[in-house]
Amino acid sequence: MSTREQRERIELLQGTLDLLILRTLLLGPTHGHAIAKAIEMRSDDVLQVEQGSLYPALHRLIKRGWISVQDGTSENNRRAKFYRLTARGRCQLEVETSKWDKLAGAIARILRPAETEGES
Amino acid sequence: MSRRKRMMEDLDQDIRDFIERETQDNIERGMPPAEARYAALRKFGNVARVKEDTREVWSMIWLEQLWQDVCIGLRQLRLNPGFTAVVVLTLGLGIGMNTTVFSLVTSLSYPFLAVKDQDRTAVVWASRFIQNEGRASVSAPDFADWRQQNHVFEDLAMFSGTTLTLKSASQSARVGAEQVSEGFFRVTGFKPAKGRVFLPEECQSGGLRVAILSDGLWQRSFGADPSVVGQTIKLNREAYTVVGVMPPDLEHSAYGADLWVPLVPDMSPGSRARRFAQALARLKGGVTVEQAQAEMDTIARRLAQAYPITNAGWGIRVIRLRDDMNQKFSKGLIVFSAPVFFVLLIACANTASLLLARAARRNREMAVRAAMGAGRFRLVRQLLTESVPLALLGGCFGLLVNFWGMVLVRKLFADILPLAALPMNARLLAFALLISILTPFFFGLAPAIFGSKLDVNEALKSAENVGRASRGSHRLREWLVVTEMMLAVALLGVCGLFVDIWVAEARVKPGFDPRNMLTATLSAPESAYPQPEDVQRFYRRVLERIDALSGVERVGYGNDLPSSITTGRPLLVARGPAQPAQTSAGEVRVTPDFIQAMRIPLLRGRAFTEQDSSDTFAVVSDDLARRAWPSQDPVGKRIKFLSEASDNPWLVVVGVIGDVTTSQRFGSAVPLVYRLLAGTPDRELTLVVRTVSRPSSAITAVRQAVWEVDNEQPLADLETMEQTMREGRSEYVRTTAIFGALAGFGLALAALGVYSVMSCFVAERIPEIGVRMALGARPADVLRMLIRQGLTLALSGGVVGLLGAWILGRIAFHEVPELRSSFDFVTISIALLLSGVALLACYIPARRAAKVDPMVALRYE
Repeated sequence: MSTREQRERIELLQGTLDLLILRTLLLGPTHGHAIAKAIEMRSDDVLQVEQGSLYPALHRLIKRGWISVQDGTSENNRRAKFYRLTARGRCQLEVETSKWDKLAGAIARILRPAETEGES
Repeated sequence: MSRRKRMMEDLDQDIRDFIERETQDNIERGMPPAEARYAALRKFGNVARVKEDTREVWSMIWLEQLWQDVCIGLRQLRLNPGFTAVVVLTLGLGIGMNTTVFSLVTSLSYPFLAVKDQDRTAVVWASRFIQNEGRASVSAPDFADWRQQNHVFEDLAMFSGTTLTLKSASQSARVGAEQVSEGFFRVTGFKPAKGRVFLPEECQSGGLRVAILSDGLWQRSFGADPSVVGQTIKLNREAYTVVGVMPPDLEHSAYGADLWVPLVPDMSPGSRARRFAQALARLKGGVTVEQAQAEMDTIARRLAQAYPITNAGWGIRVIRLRDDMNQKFSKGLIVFSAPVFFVLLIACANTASLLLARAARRNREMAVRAAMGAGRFRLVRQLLTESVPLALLGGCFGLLVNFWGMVLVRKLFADILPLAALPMNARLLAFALLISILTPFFFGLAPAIFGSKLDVNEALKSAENVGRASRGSHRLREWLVVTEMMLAVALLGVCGLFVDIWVAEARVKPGFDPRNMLTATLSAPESAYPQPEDVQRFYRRVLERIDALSGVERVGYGNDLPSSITTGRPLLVARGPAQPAQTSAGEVRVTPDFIQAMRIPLLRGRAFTEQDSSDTFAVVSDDLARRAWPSQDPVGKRIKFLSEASDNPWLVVVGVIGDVTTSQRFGSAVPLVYRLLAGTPDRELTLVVRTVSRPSSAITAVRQAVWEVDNEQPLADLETMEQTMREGRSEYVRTTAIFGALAGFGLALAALGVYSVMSCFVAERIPEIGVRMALGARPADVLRMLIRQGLTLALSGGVVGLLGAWILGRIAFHEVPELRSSFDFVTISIALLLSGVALLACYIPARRAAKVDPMVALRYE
């Protein structure tokens, strides 16, 4: 890992990890390692998931009833814990996503005021 | 919690799975298996930490950790019993003293519980602000006017305490009686358990003599005889009919007494100047204290206009009952609560110092905890929580101290504080708990911060388990010792002030010679001596008998002792051709020999002689002479006591005698006029006997002589004058003793602090000392070096404290200049005491260091 690569990686905002986990699980139930890998891959390795925060986040979501956990067998026939999005989690994901869009849009408008002015 | 457990097991499995997958990925990327696993582990990070954080999601982790820390704390306590004992004792004493003061505060309001509807009860005082008499008694005629003219009180009562002799078949006992006016029981709401309260006609002159017993007296002297109501008892040899018995809950209550008798108001001419009773009122519904005050102000103005001689300048003060009591005692309680708080601070500083030393020893343990992933905050929290069991144990011991403290205070101050036996109550327990939980922040925070500040690598690398305290921790301990010394010395200083008052009190010249002197009160009640001639004959015969005794030099009577008179009456002073001036003076009526018997020195003119048959002669005190005739010879001048009703005769001053200081306050003397006893004889007189040698041996002879004339005289207060004066002074002695104990305890704690810091220094510097000695330093050099260090520490704190105490003394004694020189003496004594104690506290550890064998010391590390 080069230092340049490290510098480009972004620490996840508080609460954002929850959103990303929910979004990842929308594709289907999977295990912890896969969740971390998926987030890293889909963000082109920009987002780095710390294990120190992944597991507490998963359990926080379980506690809120947004995801559930069950035993399963993985692709290479290994037993693993599979995390699955619940119905409530699905609703929450929509809420969180629209919230995030609003937030991102707002921040973008503040950061790039010239563009928005030019458009209007 | 089974769900949590299952979740944690799932987590374990998941983490294992994660690492295996990561390892697999790494192997697929071409790493050798061992390296692949290592890389996976390193990427994952601190497994324990992740688990801990996840568990936190599932639990009240905060509470759990708290419990863990408390357990660790308890284990620490068990591991170091010596440390635990010292800390629990010091903290316990500190906490106990504070809760004792708290108990005092609460128990001071406790006596009022017996008074019903306290919010509507108010104390009414006469007041004269120009004379700084904020709380003065009221005279019977004034009281009658207050009662008639006000529209704000539902009821107004007056009462006055007195001592009576209760004569029973076998013995006579002195009992504290409360003379009360008719409304008293309605105002206080005291209801008898048996019988009834006084009737209005019983509280007027000529009424039936009746009494109400307290439960205590009923049990003690009447064996709880159920038929006591209606019986006749003898009080001061008069027959009284018992009409009631009060319930037990009035024992120790405010306005309680051994028994109650009616107060028959003295409305005779001149009685308006005799202010003797306290007044208590019940406000009408809806009337505030302020409204009552306004009404009474009007009445006071009206009375001052109507009776200018006795009432000019006098006001009336209405104070809610509870406020009155609080105001009276709050000053004293602040005086006590400040030093006990100081002691608690010293105890905390000491404990902090001990904890710092212990923290240094636990360096390695802390390093291990930090290495396992505990953050700084977590470590501070752990160390702080560990202190809590320590403080709680201290609090438990403090409650014991509180119990003993209250027993002690009740014993010492039984006569001045209306303290009831107070049960442990919830408020006290809550207060003790509060202090116990707060003190760890005082004594535990700094050690926790220093204990958690460490270099993990260094601490783990060092082979020995005995860690080295950091420089900062040392600095802090030094500061703590300095602070302790400062507080202890300030305490000693305050104690010194009290010693000073005491010494000054003892040094004050009473104005007469209290040695070889006896006093007693004699009474000639109407029942035994119906005619004035009988009274005169009784007193004359007693006088003759005592005079005839071999050990007696002189004997006389006075209506009171000059040292007991604290208030004056209006007095008119003639100044030659000029207009007579008004002043005020106390009056003492005496037999001719009285002044010589008391040995009050004659300054000018002459004293009374046996030939003075007229009571128009007066002898005045020096104070009065100086005030009335500043640059003239008082002999031959005329004076006259003013009274609303009768025209008193002019008195001719024949002599001036020395001032007699009152027994209550040192240095103050009321101007006095001495006259001869004449006219209607007093029924009660004070006997003064001047003996040739030790007065205690003459007591029996005097008692015998009195009893030969009248064997029913109680003579309960027959004692030497020195005894009487000692009683008056004992309040100072007791206060001094308490402060002395507090200050001594504080100093002992501070010395312990110096000792423990020095011991620590020495223990840590043994290698260095070994090098010094190997290089040729002698034991004496080492000793001197260490003692110098310790003394610098102790004395720098001491000097600051001394300075503070000295300034305090300057402020406190601003008013009493003659105390200054002796206070400096006290300051110097404290300085010497402090140096001695500090020297000892340094010497013991230093000597240990000086005995170090250089070879052993060098191998030490």
